[in-house]
Amino acid sequence: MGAVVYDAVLIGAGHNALTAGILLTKAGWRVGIFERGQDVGGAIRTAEWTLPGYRHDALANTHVFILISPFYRQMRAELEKYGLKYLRFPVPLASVFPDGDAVCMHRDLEQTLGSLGKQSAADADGWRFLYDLYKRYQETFVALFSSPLPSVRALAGLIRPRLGLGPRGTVEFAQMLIMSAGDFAGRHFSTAKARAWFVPWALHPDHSPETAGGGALSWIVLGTSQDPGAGLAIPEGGSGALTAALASLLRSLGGEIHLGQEVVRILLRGRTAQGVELAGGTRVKANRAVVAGLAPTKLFLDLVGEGHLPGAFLELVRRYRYGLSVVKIDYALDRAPAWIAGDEVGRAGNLHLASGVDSMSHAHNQALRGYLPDEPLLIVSQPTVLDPTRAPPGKHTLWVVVRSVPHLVKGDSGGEIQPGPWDRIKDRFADRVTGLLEGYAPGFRASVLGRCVLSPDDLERLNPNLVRGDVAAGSMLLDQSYLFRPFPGWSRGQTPIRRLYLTGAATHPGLGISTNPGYITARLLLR
Amino acid sequence: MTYDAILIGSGHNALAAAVVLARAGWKVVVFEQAREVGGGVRTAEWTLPGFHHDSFANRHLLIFLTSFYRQFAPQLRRHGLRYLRFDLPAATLFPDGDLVALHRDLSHTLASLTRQSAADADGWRRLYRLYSNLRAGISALLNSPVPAAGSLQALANARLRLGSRGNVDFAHLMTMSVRDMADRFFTQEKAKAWFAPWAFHADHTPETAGGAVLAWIALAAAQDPRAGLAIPEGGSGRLTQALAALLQSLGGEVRTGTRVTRILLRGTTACGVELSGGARVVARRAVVAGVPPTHLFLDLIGEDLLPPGFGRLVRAYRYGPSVVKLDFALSCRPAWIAAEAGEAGNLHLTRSVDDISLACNQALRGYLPEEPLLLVSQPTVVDPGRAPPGRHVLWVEARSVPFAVAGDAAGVIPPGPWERIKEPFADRVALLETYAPGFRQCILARNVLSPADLERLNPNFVRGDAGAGSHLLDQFYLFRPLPGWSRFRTPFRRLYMTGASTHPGIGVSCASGHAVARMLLG
Repeated sequence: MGAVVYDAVLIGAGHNALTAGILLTKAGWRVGIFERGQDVGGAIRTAEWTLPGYRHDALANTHVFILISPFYRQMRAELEKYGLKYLRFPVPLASVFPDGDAVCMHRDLEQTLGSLGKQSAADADGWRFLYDLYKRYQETFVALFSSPLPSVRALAGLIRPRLGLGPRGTVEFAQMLIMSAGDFAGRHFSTAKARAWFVPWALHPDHSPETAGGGALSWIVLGTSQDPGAGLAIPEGGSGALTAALASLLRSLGGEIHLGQEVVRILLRGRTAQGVELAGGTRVKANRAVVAGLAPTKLFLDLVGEGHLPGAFLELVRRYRYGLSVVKIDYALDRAPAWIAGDEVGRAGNLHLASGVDSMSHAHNQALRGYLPDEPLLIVSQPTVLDPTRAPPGKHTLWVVVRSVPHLVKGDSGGEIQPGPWDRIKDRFADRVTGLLEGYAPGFRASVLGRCVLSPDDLERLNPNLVRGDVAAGSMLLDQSYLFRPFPGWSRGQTPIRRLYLTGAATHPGLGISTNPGYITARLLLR
Repeated sequence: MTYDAILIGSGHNALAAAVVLARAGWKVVVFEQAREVGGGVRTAEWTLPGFHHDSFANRHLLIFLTSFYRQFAPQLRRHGLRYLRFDLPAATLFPDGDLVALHRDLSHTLASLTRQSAADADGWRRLYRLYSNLRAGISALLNSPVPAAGSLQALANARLRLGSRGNVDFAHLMTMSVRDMADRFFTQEKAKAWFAPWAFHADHTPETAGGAVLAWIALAAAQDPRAGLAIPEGGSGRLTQALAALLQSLGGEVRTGTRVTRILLRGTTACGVELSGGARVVARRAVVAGVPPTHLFLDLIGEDLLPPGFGRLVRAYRYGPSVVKLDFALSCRPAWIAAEAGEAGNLHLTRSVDDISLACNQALRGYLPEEPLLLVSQPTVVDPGRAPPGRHVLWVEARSVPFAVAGDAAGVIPPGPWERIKEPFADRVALLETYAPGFRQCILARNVLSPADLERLNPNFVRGDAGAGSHLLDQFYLFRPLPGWSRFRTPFRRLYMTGASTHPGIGVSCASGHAVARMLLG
């Protein structure tokens, strides 16, 4: 392999690197991907984490943005040939409250409005207004999230005269993009439960209900989920079916994927990347580009080395900030949970369990200050509602992410768990989560056949890009998003090293199964 | 009665606008519903005779960066305004007796930070240098309407000193939270807790985007020998009194105890105002309202007269959390646990950024904070005339509190109307005793203003928000007060806005008044 020369060497086989690899290969480039693990997929993998026959998504589970991404729209037929089949939920998402009430989004808009209307007519109106506005802007959002920033195309999309916004309307729209989720919800919804239905999608990256820019994230996820032409979906068989299909497609085009091959160094001549060195000492040459699907601190501090970077840039790298962590729990269940909110919720793909926006704010603040939250927001996914292949006949899996927890635990807001390393506390904390779930679905505890708990440390061990257990590979607050992702002045994935590029969740548009970072990288390289 | 311009409210911005217009030869009148001029910048004997307490605003900082002050300082001095400066403008005092101080002298500030760590002194050196490089741009941003070619140009010029990516860097700083900026430039908890609280004079929490700039500019301006932090001799109200006197000397009129109840419109043009007695006053050229948008558009105009869609924007205008304000008349100086604190103009009393975060979060959720952040101002350090000989006044703000109280984080005070809970909550501020043992024995009298009191005293402080509207990023700069209406204009011809609801927001600056007047004069 030492003699092999590629046009592009990609580091890591996450879905964005695979996407970039496919587009480059299609353009005639010779591409080699080097992945340290034994499987492709990065954060999108499926495995039997609990018991045989129960297939759990290791990390990412819900596919929203990919369905309207330029890459998927273009490659859909080919990916389907390699086994990718998206399933859509009749009830994509719901918020469940401790009193047994729920607010649901149905695939059908009128039914969603019916569910919100049970809270208040104003709440139904709020969503109708927001969804209409979302539809008007959908292609603008697609452009914003699939173009290198700063982008003339995305900006032009915003002020397109046919939308009739004019300069004042454009400023009003810009305000929507920087509002916090709590204030956004406060503006468009009148009841506490409708607000609690809207807000938590902003908390999937590390926003709190109060941080600027979170509102638009919730709005766009909910709008895309409501759109019959887009929707919220899961791949049949598990999230890993996406990365498996991407890998098969790449190989069919002549691209190479080398598993179990860790890149330990970027080879430089002066300030130009020439290739990479692998753990065994093998050197692989890249004629045109080295593309790293890595967390930036890892790429620049470990693989490039401080001595090869300009001082000002090094400072940007050192101050790159990782967000709060999560605890991820997979359950193998003997039967479907008996939600107190009833059957409608039983058919829902994604649930948020919390008593309200205030409890989310409280839990987030506890985590920020280093405390285990006593009543965290639970993000629950029920893939077997739609995809029975993920569990043995009649059985179920449940995917739970606990938002948020500190990476370094100083104390417990519940006053029960002694602070300590995550390996020691994760099971006790998971017991707390099981107890909370029991409150929302009586009998849940007794239905648990197996459980796998991944602490922030486990997440980083599984995937070193999830630094400090941050699943977004870097905080997504406003000062590290859009034009500022990963660093101000370096928002296009370029680096001070010629021919070295960054892709993946650490680059615009960040967290999510979208293929957009990989698509942006390939577009820049092929220009 | 016919004037060129009518100003509604006699806050310092409306007065500044009136001064500039009167000097240009306009016939100007200011209508003020209270008996006294000043709006949020007034001084009165709130506790005992001879003790002069600033009703609301206390420290003057941004005004020294404004073109208005540069231009009018000599005239204001002639009308009795004299600024006094502290050698130690600001410090954070910790319950263990440690203190981190901003001294007027940069080298002393750096020495104070060095006691925490050399890296912390270096952090402040870098932040202050960055401010010095960007000073012209910051000053332009403060003094111009946004968007304005002038402020953009000044920032673009400053970029030359920042390197090729300077503009993006500056935009990036503008979006940071104060927690993140503190983490980036300081290493020790106490250095961070010295820096961060200056973001909370508006309604930011440690985590909200855009708060960092507020702390950074406030502290750097306090450090800047060409700006500085000061208080007027005799009380904050001396500024508004001097403005009113200057205005009258230029032929302008000030009518206190006169409430405007309606904006008179001809079609979509403002042509005057109606007063509470029914009298109508004509404005030939402009009506300038120093009141928040909800009051102006919903009360003084009426929703049915607003253009389609505009009422929705106005109703969405958001007010921030509130404060409880306490004034103490003291028989002796507080015996602070750190002696140096006795020289400080302003003290923040807290343990850490995390404690502030907790208190903010409790207030956000409707709870009285168990340990609120205390902002303390000691005017008698440099201005002994504010109290009888040997006596002192102390100005304290407990930040933040909810306007509608759902509960008490300490589980002691039952929720209820502020009238009933303000005194028990003020007793909690006996927290001061931790920082100055024996403080209680020094108290001769105390006056407590709850959020409800604040709104009663100044209707612009809607829901007790002394910023007359939230200062979070989506209601700041280009978005203040309403998106698309950031240049003091309204959908009505000849009707303009000024004051804290407009850019650049809260703070004693005169900047919005000056900007609106310059706009009117073309």
